[in-house]
Amino acid sequence: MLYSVIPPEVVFADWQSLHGQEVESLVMTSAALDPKRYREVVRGGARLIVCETGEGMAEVVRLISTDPSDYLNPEYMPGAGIKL
Amino acid sequence: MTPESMHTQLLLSGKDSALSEQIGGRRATADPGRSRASNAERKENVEENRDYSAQSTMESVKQMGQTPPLGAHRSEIHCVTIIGQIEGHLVLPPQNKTSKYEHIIPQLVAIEQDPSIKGVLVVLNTVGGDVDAGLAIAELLVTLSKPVVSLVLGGGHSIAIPIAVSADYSFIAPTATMTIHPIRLAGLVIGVPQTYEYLDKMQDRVIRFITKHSRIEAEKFRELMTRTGDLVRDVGTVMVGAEAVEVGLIDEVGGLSAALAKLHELIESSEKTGKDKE
Repeated sequence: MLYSVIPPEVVFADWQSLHGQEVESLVMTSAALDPKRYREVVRGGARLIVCETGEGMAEVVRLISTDPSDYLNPEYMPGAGIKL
Repeated sequence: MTPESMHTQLLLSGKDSALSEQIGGRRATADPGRSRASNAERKENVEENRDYSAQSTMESVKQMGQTPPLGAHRSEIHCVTIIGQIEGHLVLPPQNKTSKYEHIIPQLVAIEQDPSIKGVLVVLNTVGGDVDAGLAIAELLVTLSKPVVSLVLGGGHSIAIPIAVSADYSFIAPTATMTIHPIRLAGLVIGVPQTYEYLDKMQDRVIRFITKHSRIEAEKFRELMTRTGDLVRDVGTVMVGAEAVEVGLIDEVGGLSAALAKLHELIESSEKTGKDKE
């Protein structure tokens, strides 16, 4: 149940078109819905959302960590390349 | 990988300079011939290392038998940032920026478990979201044995309010806003028919939590929730900075330094008494 200041018609704008897709991908992760192939990987204790850029290669999109010092680590900065 | 590339790579990644010098120096003396690599080769190495920086630093450090630098300077205050929609049972379409239940809950459990973490700062800038997920996060923050300070920046609307008040002490930035409005009939309910009683029950659940953990009275909160004339398309109230403090929802107007100072103060006093909060 949603309790938000964003109207439901905005939140669920793509809902109808999404229902045409595989139910599994809907349940698993919203990343699966994105054509840019986002993935979640864990590196050195930090969780990263990465975007695959090529064979075995990815670019950091977002860092998910509660340790503020992780955000100063250049390896985790958005745009940094990592090997999958 | 060549020693030069390893050296360059460590410098590039801005790691502890003493460590990189040590590694670079040691390798240079051990293998002086290799250090006279051509400029072209070096350039190539730099390019290669930009791509593989995360992986190769980990590898090189492991090969050198050094403590991984990641664990070297862990902060004793951890920060949970909540932005966009708080996402619970439903994966929202990709145009929504979300903070996910499955990310935040394990983080809070890990914080509770890690003895090196002394306190938590919760930074909120959210438009609301799933009622169950929001209340779950709020309940975990309330029952966390370590001091928690929340800071509302930008916006802390709807279900963000219970999260903001769940902290031991809450701050709001002077320009930040909080919107109190009823849980709408248009909300999406999974597996439960949307009856008026059900919505009322959900609303009571939220109000009870907020009134229990802040200075605001239920009557006052309901009045703010159903006030007309403040919002264009809905009943409810928008409060800016100090207004949220006046009604008793938030403890103080302040920013990052004030929030961290308070958190350090709470950590100190909790260490002094040696008692955990309920």
